[in-house]
Amino acid sequence: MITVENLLKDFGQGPILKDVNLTFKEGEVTVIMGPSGSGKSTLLRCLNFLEIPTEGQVMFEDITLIETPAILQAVRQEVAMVFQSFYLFNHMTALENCSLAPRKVLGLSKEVASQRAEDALVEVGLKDFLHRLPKTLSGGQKQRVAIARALAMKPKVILFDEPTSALDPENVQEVLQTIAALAAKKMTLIVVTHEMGFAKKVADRVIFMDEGNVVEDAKAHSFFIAPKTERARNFIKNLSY
Amino acid sequence: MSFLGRMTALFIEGYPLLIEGLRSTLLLAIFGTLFGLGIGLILITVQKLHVMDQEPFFKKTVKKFNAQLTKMYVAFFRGTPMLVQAMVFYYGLNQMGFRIGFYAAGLTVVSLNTAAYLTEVLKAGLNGLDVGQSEAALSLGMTHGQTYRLVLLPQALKNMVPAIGNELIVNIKDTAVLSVIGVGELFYMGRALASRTFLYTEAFVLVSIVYLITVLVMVELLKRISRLSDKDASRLLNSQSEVGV
Repeated sequence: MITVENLLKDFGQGPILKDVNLTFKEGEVTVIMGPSGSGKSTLLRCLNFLEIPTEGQVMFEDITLIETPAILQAVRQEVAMVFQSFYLFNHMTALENCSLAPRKVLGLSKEVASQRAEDALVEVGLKDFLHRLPKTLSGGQKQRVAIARALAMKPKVILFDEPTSALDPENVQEVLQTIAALAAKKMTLIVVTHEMGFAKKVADRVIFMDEGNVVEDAKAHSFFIAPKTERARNFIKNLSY
Repeated sequence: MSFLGRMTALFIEGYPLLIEGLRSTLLLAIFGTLFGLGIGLILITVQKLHVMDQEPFFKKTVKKFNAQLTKMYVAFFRGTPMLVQAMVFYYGLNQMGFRIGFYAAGLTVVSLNTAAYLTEVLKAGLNGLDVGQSEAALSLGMTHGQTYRLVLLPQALKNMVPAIGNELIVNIKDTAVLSVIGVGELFYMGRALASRTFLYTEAFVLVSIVYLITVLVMVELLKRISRLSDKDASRLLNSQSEVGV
């Protein structure tokens, strides 16, 4: 569904990503792990061209991503993203946050878009919070609105960039459960996270990155039971202290 | 007659003039601020137009050139006194053969001046927004134009409501300089009153009091308006149930 070929990203201070080659399949839940600075977030952001690769290619289905507005807009409608710091539109209610893009990007009528937004918010368990402004919501609720905002586009893939890293510990669970529920519906998810418990339970596949390289790419259970590299073994050991 | 007595007498004699002056002052300040905001929105939009790498060279150059023009505009209007701008504008246009009235010239100068300040305020408002706001909008498939119009600008405008109010108050006072080109605003009327009665101190103290009261009333009004919009938000909060996790 998404293919990455010879991807290299350099912000000018040495490559963050060095020749990454990956394929993401439909219906697969992939967790990307690795230490800070290993390039996992950059890789994720290259998948919808929020970061333009320095070299190499990203393909979504049969479209090769190039920096042309029409192509990027078309691909981003299908590849949604959820950010670490939510980035909800602060001047809009939860419902408006979720109906804006369906209306303006997909061209749906106000009624249809609102209905979609409401369905998405109900799906993430926020049916009583439709008309709340982001500043009146907890971190976990905000992140679930952000997930609903992605869902309302009915995307084919959702990218999660450390979705629980900015949350209070007691809010982490509700967000992970929401993501797990999407996984159970066989949605295609690519999740950058440090939550090992989540990865063990929900992921089909784990990609372990270090210093801009994919060090391991394995089925989730075999990765945690028997990591192939020393680097991954140490990383897992440190996560579980 | 005491000072206060003379002032009272002067007020009784001159209040129709002062009210007429106040009317002009308020109209110039309010419309000058509104037009200035409108022009400022156009200027900042031109300045912030998204330039893409793969656009034709000509289009990129025009965009960059226009952005530079808006910066020069702001530099000029912020870097010269409004008094001088009014002179240049009024006498300049008339010399070139454009007949322009006092009020039209005055309103134009206030609007252009306000536009320069509000462009800077808008720029700060836009730059102050988290870059994630536009990333989130773009990642949903929005165009740069939609991102700017639907996500960035409304938030910047909302944050700058106090700055717009501030500009209005500055304008109530600064329109006094337009008296030099003969605009019959409050200060002009005060001066007329003074030279007619030779009670200079009394007349200008009276004018000061009118300015002060006007500004204080305006400050209070602006406070209520901003409180009203805050209440909007808290009403929204209270009307929703707190159940559900």
